[in-house]
Amino acid sequence: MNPLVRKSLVIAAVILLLHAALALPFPGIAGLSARHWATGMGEVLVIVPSILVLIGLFDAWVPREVVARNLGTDSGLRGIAFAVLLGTGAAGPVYAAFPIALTLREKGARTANLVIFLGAWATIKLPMLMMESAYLGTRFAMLRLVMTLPGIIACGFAMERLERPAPVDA
Amino acid sequence: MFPFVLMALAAGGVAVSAWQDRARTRAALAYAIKAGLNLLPSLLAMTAAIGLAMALIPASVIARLFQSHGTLGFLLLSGLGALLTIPGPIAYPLAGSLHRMGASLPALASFITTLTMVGLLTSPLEIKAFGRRFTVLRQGFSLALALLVGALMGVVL
Repeated sequence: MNPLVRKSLVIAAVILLLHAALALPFPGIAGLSARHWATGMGEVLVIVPSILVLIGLFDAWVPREVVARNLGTDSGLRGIAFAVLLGTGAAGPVYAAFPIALTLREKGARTANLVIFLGAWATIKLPMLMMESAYLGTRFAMLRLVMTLPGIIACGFAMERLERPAPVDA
Repeated sequence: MFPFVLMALAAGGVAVSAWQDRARTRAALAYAIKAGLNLLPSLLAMTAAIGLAMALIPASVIARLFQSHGTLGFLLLSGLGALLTIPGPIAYPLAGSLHRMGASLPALASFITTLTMVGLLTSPLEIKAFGRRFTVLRQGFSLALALLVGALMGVVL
């Protein structure tokens, strides 16, 4: 059996055993936790496989130079705008973005744009903005957006200075 | 809604790709399966940890804790947000009900930002992709940004 499949099965078995053990003294908590787990995995399973297939296609069809040109060291303002748009347009929690960001990095995106992409993906999505307005008020949502976006861009460039990975190409 | 758009995109992409180039499409799907199997153990453990945390800390307790205004409530909400990563469709209703229960708006601004950007429970996935240094730096910066946004909201609102 594939070692990764075996590892997943072992982890699932351990989690189920833990819930069974927890269910003896606290059936309510165990049941709730198991339901949250199932919901969480369900969310992951409806989103992540499609994303992985899209990344696979991206990896097979988009040449390195295209990514490097649009998100690389010399991409400038266009690179930032591109990273924000790429992040806001997508769906799913931020951990769904990690494999995408990794592919972008391998194809030559600069660190600042990666961090901007992850930040935009995490916290400023247009449909989410409508939801935020609905729950907490338009003023709240707009103010948070206006403050967060420059912060994310600043974080990107600060991180690029601090994190020097092994150079991808000379 | 979004998941179905994604699925349609993926299916359409595979169809077009296969029509253009069989071998390349097979390589793309092999890549997807390998990446998926790589992610699966962490995803299983992470969703279970989040599920347990959400079960152990009931919403009513959270609400009582966060009715305490001022710095303590602010730091509590930010800290909780930094621990968990919850997708927006769940985070906003949660923030809305916390607001109705009396949590302050600046604290909620920080809460939402840490909730979506910082996740100690999901950091193993990030470390796997980008390494420890990148993860610590990104989460540290995001936490600082969240606190700053929250504090500024307190001034402006």
